Amino acid sequence: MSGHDDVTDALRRIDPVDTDRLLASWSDSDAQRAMREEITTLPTTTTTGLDTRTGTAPRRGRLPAVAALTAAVVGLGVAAGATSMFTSENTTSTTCQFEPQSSSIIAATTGDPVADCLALWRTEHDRPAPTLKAYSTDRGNIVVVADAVEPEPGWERVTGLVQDPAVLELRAALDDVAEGLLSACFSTAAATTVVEGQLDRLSLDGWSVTEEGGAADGGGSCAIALLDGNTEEVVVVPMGTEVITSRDTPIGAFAQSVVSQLEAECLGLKSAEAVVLAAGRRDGMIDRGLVVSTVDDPAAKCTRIDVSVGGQIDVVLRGPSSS
Amino acid sequence: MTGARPRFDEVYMAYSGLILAYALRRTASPADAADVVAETFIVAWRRIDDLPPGDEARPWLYGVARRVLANHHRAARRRRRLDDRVSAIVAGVASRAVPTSQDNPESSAIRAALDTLGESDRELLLLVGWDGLERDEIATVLDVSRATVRVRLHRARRRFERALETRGVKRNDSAGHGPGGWTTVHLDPEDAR
Repeated sequence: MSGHDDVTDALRRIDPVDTDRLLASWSDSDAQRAMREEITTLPTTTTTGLDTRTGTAPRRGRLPAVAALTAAVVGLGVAAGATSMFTSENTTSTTCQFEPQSSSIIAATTGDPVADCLALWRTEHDRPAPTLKAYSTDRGNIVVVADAVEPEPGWERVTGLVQDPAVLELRAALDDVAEGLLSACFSTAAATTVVEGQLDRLSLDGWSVTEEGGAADGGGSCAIALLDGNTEEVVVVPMGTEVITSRDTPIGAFAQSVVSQLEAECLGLKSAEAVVLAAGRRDGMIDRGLVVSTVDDPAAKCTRIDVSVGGQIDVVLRGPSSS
Repeated sequence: MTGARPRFDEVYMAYSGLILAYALRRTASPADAADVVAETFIVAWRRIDDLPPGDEARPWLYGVARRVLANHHRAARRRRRLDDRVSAIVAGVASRAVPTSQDNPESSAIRAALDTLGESDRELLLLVGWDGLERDEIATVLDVSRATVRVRLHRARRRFERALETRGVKRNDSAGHGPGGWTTVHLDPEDAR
């Protein structure tokens, strides 16, 4: 039945995927291995809540900030680093598992994985959160589980500030749609300059920048950056196509306006949050999934802001809570 | 879960590429496709004891992917399943498999014909035409009987053939017929009505 009849042939002519090419590049690739390793680090005693018989999944509430670097990378030459595991300190994501049936991977925001997962809980539930405990897995990933979830053998309990806030801010700054690498089309050289500036600003002295996969010209081909916490490298790679930016969209306009306002005024954390929420209501961003996270930075004089878009609009504010 | 890892590795290595192709055809971006694949195999990992033996795992995985996709489309906000770096690497591989252009009159006409069909018809035809599944595999994916698949598929094919003819795409029975047996005879909008 699946032989080469006319109907099948017609459909194959408009197949959007070159299967042979995909399988050739996928099979035995670092990408395939990296995904497998990512999956098999997850707890095995639970399910995602997806009933494979009926196809239903539990309704979930709003989900938190997930800083999604979802750009396509062509000619990625970072094979050597693709399967290396992050140390916990340099991880930028956390798995929150509140019940055996489901888990979510979120972008780490504060560096305290329990606090980040608690923030997630509050966006999804009205009732008090269960006791949450953070663990570092044998692969260096961070998993936060509630009492109802049994930690896996080999996991190590971790408490407090586990992930480097500077690395988290590096990630957020590079993903920022107003001024980061997703705000415009950057050439490799320009992107490298941006990355070096951020590493300098955040005093990430041990980190380096490498360029791989050829050069992006900043026109039809744009550069993005990947963080490798294991080697403490930011790898600048060219895309084969342009970045899809939010620059000329309502979200982009919102991002530009709040960034500009916070750059013009020196505000404490609470005032900055109020400004962002007011702008969000004004520009209709609340309904689009605006999530505002705050990180107390007592050493800062003014609040700084990063805005990323990945299915939601994630604003992270870092500043002094005392003013 | 002794023995779980080898079985998981076996099905993952055998079918992850096909599931990626399936997802890539039905999502807006390579990164979304990567998330669908990840979620599908997370289900497989966690339900390894439910995984059918041998080749029966293939339609089972497509069934899971289909439901993951439905949830993905329904979700107001995308839920990330992969670490950023892994997502970008997988999306990179996936993006290279998308042809740069299918912009020709024949392809446009075929797509237009496909667009006239209901979702159920399209799904059946594409599981055959794009994903290469057999009737009994489709029955597993859709969780219906083989007989139901046979009847629905027959009707979907007839509707698609009529839609192709309406759009001026008809089978060329002559010796000089083009690839695949279909050719665009004429595309005058008046004739396509």
